[in-house]
Amino acid sequence: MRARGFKRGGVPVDHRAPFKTGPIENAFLPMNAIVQLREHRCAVEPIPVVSVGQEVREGQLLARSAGKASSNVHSPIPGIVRRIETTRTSGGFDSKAILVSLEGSFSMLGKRPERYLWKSLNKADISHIVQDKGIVRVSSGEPLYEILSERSDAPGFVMVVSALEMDPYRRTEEELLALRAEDVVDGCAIAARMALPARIMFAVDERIEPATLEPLRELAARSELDIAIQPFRRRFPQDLPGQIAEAMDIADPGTLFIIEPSTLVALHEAVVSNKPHIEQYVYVGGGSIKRPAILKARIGAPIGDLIEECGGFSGHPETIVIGGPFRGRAAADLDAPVTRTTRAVLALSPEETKSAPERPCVRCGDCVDACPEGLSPYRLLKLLRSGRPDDALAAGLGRCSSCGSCSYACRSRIPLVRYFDEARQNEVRR
Amino acid sequence: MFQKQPMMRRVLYALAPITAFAIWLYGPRVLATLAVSLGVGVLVEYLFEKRRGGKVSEAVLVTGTLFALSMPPAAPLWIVAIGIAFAVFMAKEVYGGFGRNVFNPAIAGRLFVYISFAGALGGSFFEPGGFGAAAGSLFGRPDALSAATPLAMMRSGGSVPTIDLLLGARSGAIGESSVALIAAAAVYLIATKTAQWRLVLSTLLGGALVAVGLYVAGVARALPPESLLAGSFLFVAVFMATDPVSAPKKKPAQWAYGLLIGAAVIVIRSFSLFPEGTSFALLLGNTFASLFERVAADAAKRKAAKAAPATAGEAKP
Repeated sequence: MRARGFKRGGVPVDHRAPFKTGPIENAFLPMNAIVQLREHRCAVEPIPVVSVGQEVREGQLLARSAGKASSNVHSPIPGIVRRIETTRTSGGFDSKAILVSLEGSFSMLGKRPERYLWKSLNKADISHIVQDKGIVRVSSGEPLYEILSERSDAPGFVMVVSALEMDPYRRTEEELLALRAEDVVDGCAIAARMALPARIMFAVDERIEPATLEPLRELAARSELDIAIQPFRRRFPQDLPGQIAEAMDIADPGTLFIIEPSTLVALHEAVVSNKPHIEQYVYVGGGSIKRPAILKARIGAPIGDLIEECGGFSGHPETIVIGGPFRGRAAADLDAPVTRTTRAVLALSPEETKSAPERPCVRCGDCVDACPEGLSPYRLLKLLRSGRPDDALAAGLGRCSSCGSCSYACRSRIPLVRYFDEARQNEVRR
Repeated sequence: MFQKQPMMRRVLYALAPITAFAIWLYGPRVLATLAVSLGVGVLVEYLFEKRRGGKVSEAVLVTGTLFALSMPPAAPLWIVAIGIAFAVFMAKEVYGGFGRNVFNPAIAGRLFVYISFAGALGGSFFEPGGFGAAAGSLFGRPDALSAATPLAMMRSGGSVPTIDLLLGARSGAIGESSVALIAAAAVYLIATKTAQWRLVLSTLLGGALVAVGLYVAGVARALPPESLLAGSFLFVAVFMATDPVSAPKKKPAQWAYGLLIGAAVIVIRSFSLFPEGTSFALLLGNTFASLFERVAADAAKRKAAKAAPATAGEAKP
């Protein structure tokens, strides 16, 4: 099938860092897990239901969802609650965090997972489980039950299972399609029972291995769902509704619901194995990591532990990024914990970051070409710097999706997207 | 003292062979012009940036070099000094310095002196070749010279061998002669993404369309098509029209900008009192750049609003 792609803006990503595929290993259990309660800047903070000194089991509820965009939080390890305090997250906002130190025995680890036959469950049952187990959409941190129930109010949408990796490093979603295709398709069926999509589309890389694609195609054909598989060109950002809609010639991006295989796997485990969202597939890589790998890590594990498990650093890393190289944020230190939205930890070498001081804008217009939304980032920045945020909003600041293409394209090394994010936070505060 | 600007450095690299060739054409006097232009330019910018607490941009070196190369070979050095001072002061620093100017400084300076000292500069062209042999003395201001430029000859109905135009063996401003070197510089600048190919191409296209159109239509004052190789049309298309600061950024706006400049060059060359129209055309283009940009942005906004009324809410958390 012909590969599709969006026409305007973005960054081509042809180069890919080499990666040795293989079964995904469990990361070591952290001695201390720091569990962040909020996954999202706009989320209401969940209310802790444990107190300091209390003993908790693996998977026990730590905090209860308390409103919009907040989700239940469970203990990733058995242990003692040591501290409950507010910290600054790597996403740049404040959140309460619960520190659990490892103690006692495991109730899930090493045991054969239970397997419930979910087909007998109805929509309300499944919705309840998803809410109860605190499953969040890995790409955005929004609670899955919330977005799925919103979708079920307006049926006729297209569910896009996006296994697109748009940077030179990450492979998690592709690997999950290769290794856990059955669970992903089963997860699709569960999500489809909660919110009836008109059809389901798997968005895959145009250069995906045939060995991954063939079994997936078979599974899709065998399932009772209307699943199509659509290859996409490797271009960043390919995971936004606007860009996928443009590539597919769909008029209204609002009819697209985008979910990634890792979220579907978490959903599947919650419904079939009764497992809360306490694990996360994290790609650890970048030029300064000795052995890049995908690890199945517990939430709250410090990223330094993961890096150590991948052989540690080779050479001195210039920066450590949580998330992707375009959108990600620099980690403050190696103690930053894995959250339910941590998809990658990249230790980038100086050759990769080619870091240089910020220089004045030369008005070359590269950012205009790179912007997938068709904005003029240099102009927005000029308006913001001259103290005219309202004019910047009128010029389209609100349409910015924070993809970071402009910052990447900028030859004067101006971190445009950071200024835009800051400006919009101030706007929200106002 | 200087801000590092790799992009501006690449422009300087691209100008180096052109300068070397100019020395062969017109002798070491070229270096004197260049030294005055760079020295005064940097000094003016330094005086301003010192007050503002900023650094001198490497762009001023580009402005100074471009300005020097667009002077006639025997231009009096005091005129060069006035021109570059005007360029940096009036066309750049009063707008707030690098990145904020509306007009290309080198062109603004050049036009200023061309109009103010039309007589002195008009008589400052001499025949090229042999390290400025025609000028007589090496450094002193050559007397008794003034060779007609190819454009002036074409206007008066004469013809110029195309091969001379291609090789650069013709009188004209210091850096504008060699078609081959300018073309090579264009390839280098476009390959290193220093210059936007769309701007170069649209300018050349605009000029070619109008020139050929007028010639084919048999307009009395139309210049022959090879006049595109004469004067500073190529030099301006490659080095001035691509100035990122004063050019628009949206693709449709860039096309309109280049076509306007190209067309205006030919119209002014053919019908006005001045034999050369590139400076006027470029300033005209600069003037319209922000309007083109605005029209293009509004069109894009309308299109986006029509296509995706629901995206705004979806994309932003």
